[in-house]
Amino acid sequence: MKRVRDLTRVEVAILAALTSKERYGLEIKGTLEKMGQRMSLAGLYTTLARLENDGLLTSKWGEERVEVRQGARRRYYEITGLGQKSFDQTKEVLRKVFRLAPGAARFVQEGV
Amino acid sequence: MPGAWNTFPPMPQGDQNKPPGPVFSQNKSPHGYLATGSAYDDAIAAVLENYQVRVATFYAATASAGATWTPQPLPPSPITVKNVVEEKVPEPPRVLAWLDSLSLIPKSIREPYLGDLREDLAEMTRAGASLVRIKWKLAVEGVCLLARGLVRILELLRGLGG
Repeated sequence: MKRVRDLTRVEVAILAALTSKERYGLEIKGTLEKMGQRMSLAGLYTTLARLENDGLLTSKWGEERVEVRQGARRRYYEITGLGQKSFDQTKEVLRKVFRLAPGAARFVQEGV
Repeated sequence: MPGAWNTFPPMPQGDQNKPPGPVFSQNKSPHGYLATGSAYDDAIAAVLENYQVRVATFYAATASAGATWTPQPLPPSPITVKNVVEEKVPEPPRVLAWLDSLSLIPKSIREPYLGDLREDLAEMTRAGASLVRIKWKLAVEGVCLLARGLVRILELLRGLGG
């Protein structure tokens, strides 16, 4: 399998949040916080832009109108095939790393 | 009449620790309204009513014993059980409106970022977050945004130099 670039922890968390379905920024931030990964919206959007530039994500405008957003549309992000491949490779590396760590076998079985 | 006070029936056990004012003022719903008419308020009202009956009994007993007693007027009750007091829920502040006009940040990032920020702040306001906390969050976001922008500019400069 061809290797893609190494991902940072935040990038892995963002890709993990997007593996199940497409989400918009605040939704991604909420999912990251549930994983224990806190970050600012500014940081999140910078990382999203980088991932999109690298072809790991695609984005599109949402159709719904939310009054409190004062006309600003939501932008929904979706993981690409390359993003999924990159995520799977990182997962595989982490699995090998944790296999070497004592007492991590159960953690690996549950899925990293 | 020191003797008469000794015969005054005590309040029920545990009721002494339930002063109506402070307890009621803490009885706030998360939506910014003072909750009234609840079971707890009714319980407080029942305790007060019970206490007033005991006071009246005490006065009657004192009068029948032939003692002279001028009852002091009771302070007005801080409890109005069925009265709903409405507090104004603060509006979410108008945030970083000047960023809307900044063309330095691409619209594909600026629009969803500001929209999400407004949505997040509105959610915080709805959840009852204090203005200080909201302003603190805004300050953190502003600093993060500036720091990211600075890093981006440095990257561009390094690219031009290299």
